[in-house]
Amino acid sequence: MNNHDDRRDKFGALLRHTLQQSQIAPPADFARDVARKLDDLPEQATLESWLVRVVMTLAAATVAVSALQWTGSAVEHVLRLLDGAPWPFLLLTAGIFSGMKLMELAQQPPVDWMERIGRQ
Amino acid sequence: MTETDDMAAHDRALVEAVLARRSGAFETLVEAHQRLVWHLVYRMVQHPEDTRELSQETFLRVHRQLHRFRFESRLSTWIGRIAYHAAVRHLERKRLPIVEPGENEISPVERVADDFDLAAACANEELVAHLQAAIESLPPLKRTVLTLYYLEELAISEVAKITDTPEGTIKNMLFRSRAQLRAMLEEKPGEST
Repeated sequence: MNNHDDRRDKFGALLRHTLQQSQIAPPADFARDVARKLDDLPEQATLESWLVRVVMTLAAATVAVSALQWTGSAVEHVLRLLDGAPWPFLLLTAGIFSGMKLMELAQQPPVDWMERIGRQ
Repeated sequence: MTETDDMAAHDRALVEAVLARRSGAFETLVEAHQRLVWHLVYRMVQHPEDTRELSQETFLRVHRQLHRFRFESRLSTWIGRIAYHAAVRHLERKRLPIVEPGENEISPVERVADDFDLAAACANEELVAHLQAAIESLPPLKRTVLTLYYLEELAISEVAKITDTPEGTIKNMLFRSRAQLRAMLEEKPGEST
């Protein structure tokens, strides 16, 4: 079989004629439509990236607010604990401890600052 | 410079222009290949709206994949392959067969005489309509192969590349389609081709 002959013979010509008759041509504006659709794609991509940024910012803000609320409640909890502390007893203990330290320091020989500086 | 070299140079220039995002280049590419894509897809799916959608999808895919085109075939063949596969996927989604069962049956009318009056046959609207109906009744792959070969006048090797089918199978398919169509025409009472 020679296919090139098939295309050139009478039945081939009739087939081509019939195919041409039944064929629908693409619309006149098809190429422009496709090119425009393509131009819209980067814009859509930009819009999508902006939407993603907005969503990410909102998500970060929500996390920050909830974290602040959590921090606030943690501080409140600590203050509540301090409110119930025996402050007079703690202050008295700290005073006695400080007095003892001062007496210790008083019994030590005075530091010769001029000699220490000269040694350095 | 041969015609093939000329085509290759034209393809290369067009592809480079599109990749360089030169204004109007992609529109030119679509204009140059829209006929092939439209005809191929329409023959496969036979639905105008689906044809428009699939042809658009084909060209958007072409734009996305164009950097992968290695100039190993003609640009039209590469674009045709993309269109063909888009149409095949569409038919598969709709669960429509692409080839008919019993494709290997040999038609008894393979050697029908070729002595009819071509001008009279082309002018016979009823005959042409009957042949159109016969073509439309063929399975999608057969009618697409006929369109690519007879209407787009592509070489068998190009039809084979587009449809991912061996050249021998395409030759067989064309041979059998012709025989089948002639048989269908001869079955029509009162007609002699």
